Amino acid sequence: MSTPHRFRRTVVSLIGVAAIVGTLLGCAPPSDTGGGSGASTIRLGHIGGQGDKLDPYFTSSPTAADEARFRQVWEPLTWKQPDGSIQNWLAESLEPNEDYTEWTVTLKDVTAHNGEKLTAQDVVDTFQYVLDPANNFNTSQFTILDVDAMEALDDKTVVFKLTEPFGPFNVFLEGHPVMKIVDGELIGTGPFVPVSFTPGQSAIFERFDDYWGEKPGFERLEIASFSDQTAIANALRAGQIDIAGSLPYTDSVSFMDTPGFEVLESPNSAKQVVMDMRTDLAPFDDPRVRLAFKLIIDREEVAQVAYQGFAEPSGDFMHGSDSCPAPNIPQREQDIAQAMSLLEEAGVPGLEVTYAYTVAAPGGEEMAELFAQSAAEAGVKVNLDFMDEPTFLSQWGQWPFAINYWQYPAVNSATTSMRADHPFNSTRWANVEFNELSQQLQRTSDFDAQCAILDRMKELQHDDGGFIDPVSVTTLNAHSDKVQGLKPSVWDDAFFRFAGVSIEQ
Amino acid sequence: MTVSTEAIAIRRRRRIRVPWWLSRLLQGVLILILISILVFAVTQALPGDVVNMILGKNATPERVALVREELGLDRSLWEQYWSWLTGIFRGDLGNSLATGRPVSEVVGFRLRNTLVLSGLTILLTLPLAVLIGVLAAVKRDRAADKGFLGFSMVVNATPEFVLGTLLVALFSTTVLHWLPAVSLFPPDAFPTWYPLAMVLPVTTLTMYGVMYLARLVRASFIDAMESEYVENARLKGLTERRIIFVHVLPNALAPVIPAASIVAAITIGGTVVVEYLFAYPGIGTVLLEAIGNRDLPIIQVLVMIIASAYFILNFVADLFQKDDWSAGR
Repeated sequence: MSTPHRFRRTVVSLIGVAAIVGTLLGCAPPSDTGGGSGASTIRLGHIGGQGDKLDPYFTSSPTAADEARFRQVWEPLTWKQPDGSIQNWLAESLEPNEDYTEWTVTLKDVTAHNGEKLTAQDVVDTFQYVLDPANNFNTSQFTILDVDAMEALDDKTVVFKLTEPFGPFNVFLEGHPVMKIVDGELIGTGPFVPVSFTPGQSAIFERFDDYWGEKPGFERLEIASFSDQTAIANALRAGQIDIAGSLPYTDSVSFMDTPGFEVLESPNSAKQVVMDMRTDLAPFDDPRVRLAFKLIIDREEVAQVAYQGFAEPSGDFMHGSDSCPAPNIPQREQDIAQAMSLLEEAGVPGLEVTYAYTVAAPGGEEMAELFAQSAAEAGVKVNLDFMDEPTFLSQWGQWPFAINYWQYPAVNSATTSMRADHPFNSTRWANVEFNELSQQLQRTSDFDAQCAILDRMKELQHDDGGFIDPVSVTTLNAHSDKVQGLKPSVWDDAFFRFAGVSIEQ
Repeated sequence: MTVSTEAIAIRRRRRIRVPWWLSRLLQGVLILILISILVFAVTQALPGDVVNMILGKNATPERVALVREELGLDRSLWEQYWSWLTGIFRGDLGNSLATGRPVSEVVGFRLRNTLVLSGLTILLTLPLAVLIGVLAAVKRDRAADKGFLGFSMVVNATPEFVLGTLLVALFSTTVLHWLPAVSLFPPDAFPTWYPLAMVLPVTTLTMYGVMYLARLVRASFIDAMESEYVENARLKGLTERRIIFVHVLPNALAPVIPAASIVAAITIGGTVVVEYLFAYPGIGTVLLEAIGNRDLPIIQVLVMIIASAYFILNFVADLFQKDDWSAGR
């Protein structure tokens, strides 16, 4: 008879279940489970993962979320401003010698998070730390800095010595935070002090009350990492976060009509999503083919379809990434007939090419598809080769025709990766005049002179350059209407520039 | 005898292997090793590697070589696999290639969170499936039963992602604003401290299991109700309640047990999608990301965990069945 056996088993099972349920539900949470105990808090949601970092320096380029985190803690001597300009930040002044090979930088009166003042020696220590080969940081732009010859003259004055003249030194310093290094700990000077950080999950900061600059109007900042953009949109809708750091355009637009939310529009973004052509490989070694491809794309269509109308046609040159007046370059329009005759002239009618792309930036995939459709009208067959990021990066720089994206100050690009001899020149474009202008750019610190040189460089890119840059994008940042004081910025950083920003509790 | 002699006879006819649990255990270990070799080989075969992801667009041949050496990727494939395998036996899960942090640290609390999520789901699924299945069988062919059948078909035909999104729209973002849309809680928190944040992920997972299992329970229950021993019991004048609970239910559940263990295993695998959707800090999101990063040590450990869960749950189901046979005897 099995009833007693079954009874015993039932009792044992019930005890087991009760024990598990008890363990699951009975654990009492601590009194404060992360609510911030009444402090005014802004919660920001962004795409992230195990690779999240809270460091001022990186082996690769930081993601937008990494930047959102580290910019709260560590600050550079000069910093790019929302209008595209570069301004002194921790530096009070920058004085060059006659041939721009030596720069004397005077520091502001700045208190670091440990309560001590930031000194000139700290600046020297920072650059020595950054250029230590053992750290393997991405330091391609530091090749002109003679770090061993750097010198702290007094507490506030530091001298940088360069191996070649560099006039736009303020741009060079931009984006390279300085800090106090105490027992291996990197102590910042920024508006927030990190409290806790778990990659792939969250970073929590508290306001630094001795901050030297304009303070945020709230006390606590939480940056949550999401692996999926839909989850970010849902979290914002459900009131679990206050600002969405990255959303697809369709989602951002949907918040425009939703009560309780606002969408910050930052036009003329410095972030460029482009189609790179290898100018040293056939068929793109022929300038006529490059020009034909630039005439094939329907820029208005890309703006409407890929960016929901939040973009303006642009003209295949660097834009948004400086505060110079807009160059006087006529707007390029789609012209299939001319493209076809150029391809005919170049001897490649009915061309077939493969375009390699990945999930790089919003709009990049739609752009590829739209280009392929327009190309078909011109008799060009474009094979779209979509792949995941590691696959794409494994052949980075080798693809003859591929997506690219960047967001650097124009002076920076013009003196590094756009130059013929630079290892990161992905199009291998080697224009003699462009390279001479790049050298000239290095030899002036005068803003107007720099703009004049950049103007001509942009013109050369427009006429002959190796990338198709169809549109200038407006960045959208959806946020709760309780958040006040966010200001547009060309750098895709409007959602984490918190000076003067507050939240209604 | 209240238990049908025929049912026992059918069970007896099955062959029982003597040290079956031992051979099963050895089989399990062997399968895990084979899976680890397979995962290793497949990850190697994928184009691109973790160094590309670490250096991104700023890779120069010198920096690539430096990182490869640091990570030990310059060693032969066999050496890499062997050092991983021996590490496992020493209890060292290795370090994440992408971030350099110990795998145990990355996986630890997330595995706990996933176990809580799937544990709660399984605890809810089994009794609910039995309850709904029995009710549907008792009300066979009536409106409630037909409604259940239709609804369960729709639920099981809907991808988890869609079902979860619908629940979010319904209860969090669009129609009602009762529940959190995503499961944001601090890393050191136990998930059940935030019961509201658990509701939607658990519901999404539970609905699948319940709808599938309840249909099985219903079919199996109807079969049992139509059997001869029930007829006999009725003729002997037993009450309907006694027939259902004492005679039909235990027999109806026997064929459901293996299915239940599979559903439990699928639940653990299914958390991958649900965690992604609800930003739930479990192993699912980490696994997807590790595959995207080609981060082999993390992929290996997580695949091993999921495979072991399948193995253990099947083992437990077998245990229950064997137990049932000996009990019947």
